[in-house]
Amino acid sequence: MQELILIEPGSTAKAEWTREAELAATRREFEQRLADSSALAFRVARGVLKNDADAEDVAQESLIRAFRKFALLRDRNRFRAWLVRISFRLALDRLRSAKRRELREAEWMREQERSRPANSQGSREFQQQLENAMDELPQKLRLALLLSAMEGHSLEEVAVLLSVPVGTVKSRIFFARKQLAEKLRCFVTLTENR
Amino acid sequence: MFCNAYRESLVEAAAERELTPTLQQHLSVCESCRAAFAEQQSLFAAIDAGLRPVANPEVPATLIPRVHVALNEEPDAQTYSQKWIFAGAALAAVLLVALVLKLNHGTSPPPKENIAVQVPAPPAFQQHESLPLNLSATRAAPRPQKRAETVRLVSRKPESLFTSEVLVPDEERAAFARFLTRDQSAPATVSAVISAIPEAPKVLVPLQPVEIASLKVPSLNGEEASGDGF
Repeated sequence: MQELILIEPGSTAKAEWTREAELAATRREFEQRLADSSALAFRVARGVLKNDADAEDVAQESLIRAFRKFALLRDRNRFRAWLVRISFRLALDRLRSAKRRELREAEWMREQERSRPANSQGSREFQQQLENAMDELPQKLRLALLLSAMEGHSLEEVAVLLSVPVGTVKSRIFFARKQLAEKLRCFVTLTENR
Repeated sequence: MFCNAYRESLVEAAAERELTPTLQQHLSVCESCRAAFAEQQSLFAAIDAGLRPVANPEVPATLIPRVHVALNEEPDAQTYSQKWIFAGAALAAVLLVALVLKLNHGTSPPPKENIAVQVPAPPAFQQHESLPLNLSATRAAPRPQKRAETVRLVSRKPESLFTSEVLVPDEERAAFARFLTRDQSAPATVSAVISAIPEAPKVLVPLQPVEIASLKVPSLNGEEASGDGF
């Protein structure tokens, strides 16, 4: 009886069909999440790298990595939090490459020149100082500040994305803004006096 | 400029966008702190305004199509997870085998040479070793040489002697010592056996030459004819 079951040709086909159906369902689910999560991956990377091309590369890589291990993710509701971590880590890795950093900064300067022709010199300098000050923030504070500054993210959502309590998010944002203010205080005073 | 007593509290209040009644009361009476607080608030507002474009850049329209293309070139997600699972299982199996082998190696009996050496080499061995080579005792000579070689090998590693003593039971050691003592008591027998081996006679016994008077060679046909019965 067992032999009959083992060599039954239909069972192999059925198992294959079931497997393909599962794969197709996984792919569909991932693509549904892709639509609303790709912007998050890109913005996290862009906040670190300050360059659209690099951020797009990192976002793509993050999404592909997420797809490769999507079947292992037990709680699919944590997909966005997982993606934020992947994207942030990959962006930091890329940032560590000195050569790329130089190119990115040069590109960033050119982009700024193109995108803000009417801005005052003081405003551009302030923005540049702000970017530099953000680069110097500890990673946890930096990511919390970046996510909270994204449109549509409440403190509760940031807490979910970072997998920490809301109080921790508040604390991180507070310390991040305070550190930025300490670094930019003199600069703002000067520009206000102008 | 802030008053020293309220500096920290007012900076934190500007960062949190919340003023306690005490601070509100102080600001209402202290013009310097009020001005500094307003400046601090404008600083935080500028920071928030500067963060907005950094955190909300426009997502390139090419991102999702690029990801779709990359996904189409990727193997199945499940294949990846299965690959990891198989790799983990293989690694675990290798580690398990290595562990078992290591344990077996650790509990295995010591090499035979070590056991043989734990008892001091009997004088009989020395006698054998000192036998003249021209005796050419083809059966007896290789064995004593082998034993003597074993003794030399282990005596160069005294730490292995200690291991051997621990592993060999006392009764076995005593039995082996008895055997050697008995063996020691028969050196004469050994020498008699060795001396009993005669040297090959060097003188040939003369034989008379054999003369063949006639030689008859039967024909094959005749045999075939006689073999008809087969």
